[in-house]
Amino acid sequence: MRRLLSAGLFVACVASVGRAQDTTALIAGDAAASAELSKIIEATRANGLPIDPILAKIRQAVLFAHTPAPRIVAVARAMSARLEEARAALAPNPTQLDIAAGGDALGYKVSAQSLKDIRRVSGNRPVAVPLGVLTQLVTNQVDEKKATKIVADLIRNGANSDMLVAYGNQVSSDVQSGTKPNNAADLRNMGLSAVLGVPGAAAAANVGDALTSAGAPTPPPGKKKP
Amino acid sequence: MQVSADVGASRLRRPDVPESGALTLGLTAAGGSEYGWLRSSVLAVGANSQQSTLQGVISGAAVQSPTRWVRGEIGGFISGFTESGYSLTLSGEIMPRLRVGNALRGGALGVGIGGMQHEMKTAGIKHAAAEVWWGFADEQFASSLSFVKTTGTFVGDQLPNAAPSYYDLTGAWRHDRSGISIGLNGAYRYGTRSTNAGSSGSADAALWVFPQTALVLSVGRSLDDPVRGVPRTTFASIGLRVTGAVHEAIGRRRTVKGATVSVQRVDGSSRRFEIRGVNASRVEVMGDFTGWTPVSLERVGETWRFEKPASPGLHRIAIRIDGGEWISPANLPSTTDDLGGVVGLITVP
Repeated sequence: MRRLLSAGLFVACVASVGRAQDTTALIAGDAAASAELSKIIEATRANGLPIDPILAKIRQAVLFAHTPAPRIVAVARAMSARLEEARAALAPNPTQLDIAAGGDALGYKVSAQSLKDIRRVSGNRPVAVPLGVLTQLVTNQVDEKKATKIVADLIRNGANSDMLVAYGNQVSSDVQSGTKPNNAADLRNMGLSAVLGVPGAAAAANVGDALTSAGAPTPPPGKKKP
Repeated sequence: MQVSADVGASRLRRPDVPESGALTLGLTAAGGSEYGWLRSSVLAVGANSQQSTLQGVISGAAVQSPTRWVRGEIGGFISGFTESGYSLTLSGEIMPRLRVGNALRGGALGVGIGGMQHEMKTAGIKHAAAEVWWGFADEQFASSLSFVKTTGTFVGDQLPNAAPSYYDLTGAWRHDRSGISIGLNGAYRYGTRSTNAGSSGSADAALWVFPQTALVLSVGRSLDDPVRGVPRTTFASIGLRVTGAVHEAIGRRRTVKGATVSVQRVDGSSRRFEIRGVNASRVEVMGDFTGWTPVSLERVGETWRFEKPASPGLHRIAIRIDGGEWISPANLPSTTDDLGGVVGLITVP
């Protein structure tokens, strides 16, 4: 019942934010906090930043985490600031998804410098997925510099979104099952890099470089004697 | 830089030598970046007190514009092969290639030249090769067709002045998962001049018993290598491989206990979320992509799934089993972030 009530109030408040500057209660029973949230959302929108991440945070806070109202306001304000910082770090032309991903990353202790590094190696391509994977790694306690370098190298080596996502989720799985975070990141990186960076079977086929690749010994002599 | 050493014993058979046992020792060092790679290998084989061989190969490639879909690269190798009482056979080749795709899926076309030298005699090599490769999940496939023409050879049954030319068609498959790597290679040679046609093949398996140690088994038959001066042989071997770095397979061997979630692209913006490892009558999920409202999943065999549009990037997710507490999936990092309430973090492609 409590969740249904919260959901109803929240839907009403989001609709109101969408159509006007009405400060209808965003949070049940707390008009002041709701008004503050409306201001934050409007200011964020006016600044050309995405508001979906903030609305998602409020939804999560109200419907899932049952966070106290003052805390929700503080989180929303911090989120808005992070979005602005992310936009600057991901310049010059970040998409709304990029900015949202950057804001998330900053919220999980990824540095602005790492965002810049990922942007630099990605060129004008979207960075939401690479930043998501980077955030996942850092949240898994992988050293941030190592995580940033791995993700950047994978991008350089041609890893696509599916491969990056698989990498991030595999590292997560390894860490949750007890592997040390940095080791898991290295091990999975070796596996993916072997596929990406090494000319692999192609090179082996080309130059016949199968000398010790399967443990197959080169045989003793059988060539013609001079 | 990755370094590994192989130590083992082999049983070998060649047309002109009785079947014999041999001890083998191999060393490999490889390294590289997005702009190129270099690999060097040395292999010593001692068949008996009178016969031993030593072979070394250095191969590498330099890549142009590694991030481009179509790019040029130039590769090659230098090989040396010697045996007890005989002179060294040296060979080398350089091959510019046009490469399409990435290392996961793609193809390449190249034309190369090279040469061989043995006891003051020399021979030239012309080589053209086309190849394709394709990988997904834990499987890798590769195939190539190459044409080699030489002005002479120092191996095989041909006359000393024979100038063999031949086509090689090869195929390879490798499966690598859970600390076990299995590979199959097959080839057919069609000789157009002074070359024995025939087929060759090998199978190998590596079982990683420790993070840096694998038991390696291999069996197969190879044809003459007129370019490197290595004769054909039939072999079976067993050995230990020790690597300088921990093998990734160890990380894969462990499994997560509990409900695990995965997500994959279906089409457009639609994504399929699947939860496994759950013995329940009802599973629900909520997260950014559900607007933080609970969604019941459909059971398909041992898997619970649902499809929904979700934007690429990081999402927060929680699951509930049989109406219990909302929990973070076991295979994801969980966080309370700045709101409270534990959620898992998953990246959507």
